Amino acid sequence: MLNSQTIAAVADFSRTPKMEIPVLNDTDLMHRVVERDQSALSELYERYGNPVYGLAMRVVQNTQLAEEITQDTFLKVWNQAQSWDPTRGQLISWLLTITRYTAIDRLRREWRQPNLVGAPVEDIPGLFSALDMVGDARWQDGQILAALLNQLPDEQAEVVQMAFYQGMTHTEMAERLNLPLGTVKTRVRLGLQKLKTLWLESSERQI
Amino acid sequence: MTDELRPQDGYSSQSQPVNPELEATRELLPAYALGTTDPDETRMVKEMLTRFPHLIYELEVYQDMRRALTFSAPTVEIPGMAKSRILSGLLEATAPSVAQSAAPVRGSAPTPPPSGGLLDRLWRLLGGSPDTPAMLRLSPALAALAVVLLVASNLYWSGQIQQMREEQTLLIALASQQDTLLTLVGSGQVHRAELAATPDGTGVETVSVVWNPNAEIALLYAQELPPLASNEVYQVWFIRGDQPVSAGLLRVAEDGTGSLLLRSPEPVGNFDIVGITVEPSTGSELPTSAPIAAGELRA
Repeated sequence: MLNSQTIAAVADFSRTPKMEIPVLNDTDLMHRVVERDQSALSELYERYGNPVYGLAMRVVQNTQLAEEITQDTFLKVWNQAQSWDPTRGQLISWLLTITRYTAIDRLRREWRQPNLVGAPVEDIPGLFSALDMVGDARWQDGQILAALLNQLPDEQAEVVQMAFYQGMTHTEMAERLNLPLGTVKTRVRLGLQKLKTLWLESSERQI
Repeated sequence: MTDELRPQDGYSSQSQPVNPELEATRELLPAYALGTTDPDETRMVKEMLTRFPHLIYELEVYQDMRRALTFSAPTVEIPGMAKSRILSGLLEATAPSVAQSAAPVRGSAPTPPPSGGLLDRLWRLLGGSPDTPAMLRLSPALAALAVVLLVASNLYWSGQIQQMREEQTLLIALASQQDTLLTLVGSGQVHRAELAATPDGTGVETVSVVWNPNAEIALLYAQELPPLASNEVYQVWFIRGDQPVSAGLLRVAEDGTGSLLLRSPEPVGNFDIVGITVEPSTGSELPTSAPIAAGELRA
């Protein structure tokens, strides 16, 4: 139990004058990361940890690997913070690009030495319920494309997803699927052409 | 066959000869934008893009699509313990490195060789002949001095290593389950306190802090803290007298659990109380609200 003296001491400090701390934008936050401010890295992780983790999960489909990839991604941001150029794009785009490459790289290493542990994504109920991102055009575009992928024929959707989420080349997909190289190339081309058409049509409907 | 260029918005294949190289490149543009082309295909596309720059306009829409696909994965909330583990790993990996250079031992500046009188006494004590030249008498003295310095240095760095081990123990506890935390409490090297809810702390239950009075970190673990709105965060404070010092921002999962490695600018034992307030999501330099929980830091 707290005694009255302790409560009084604790209550006292909250009456000290307030200071308004402005919310840092991404550019200011990254400046602090460049200056080796760990609290800025923590804030960055708090701000973007979930989308990074989500993309990692989408690529590797494994909780343990996704956790490691998320940590690796933010460590890379810490070590390469000075590389981000705010004039060339949003921080979240840069972050997710790093995530994707880190995840694909990790996936390739697992293929060479598979020792996956951790819960498969199918066993985690409700894990993929997307957070509300209404109003953010980049996320809307991404979610639209995710939905349009489902409208492709299965064999085209499969290779498009292998190409993007797993970073596989034509030859690698042909070997993985045990298909002729020409068949894979055709499916990728037709799938992406159809996806482009659907995407442009959906953009025109939104205007 | 001529190198005929086809407009990008349709061209009658019946009226103009087709450049097979150009057509082959066109067919690879979607895959090239996605990074899916094999190395020889990639080289070919790059070469054709320099020869036929207008292909870039066809490539752009596929590149836009690839950029949008980056956002096509659903956002997933990181599970509670995993979130803490990742943050702990990040903080540990990015902490400033301990100085490893051979720092001079505190309070033990090198001493000059002893005076003649002292040297004589030491020399005789070691069984040396009084006829031995003075310079040669310095050798055992310097050797003895080196031994003293070595022992002092070892004692200093042993203390440093012990402190680092204790800090490492706290870090490991942060990433472990609660039973590990209780084991740490029983070690006798750290202390534990329960934070109690204040009148403003409705729904606050089971918040503990574990600390080593000589260390500059502590561990706070909550089992039942009410989740906050997205624009708010729990902020933890070390308090001495009426002066609070921020120890970190605590975010809890939907089930009210959360843990935080608290950082202090000085040994935690120098403070009297640990308290928690609700602050804006980026934290505050000083508390802006009444505390919802507090506990005394008594060893």
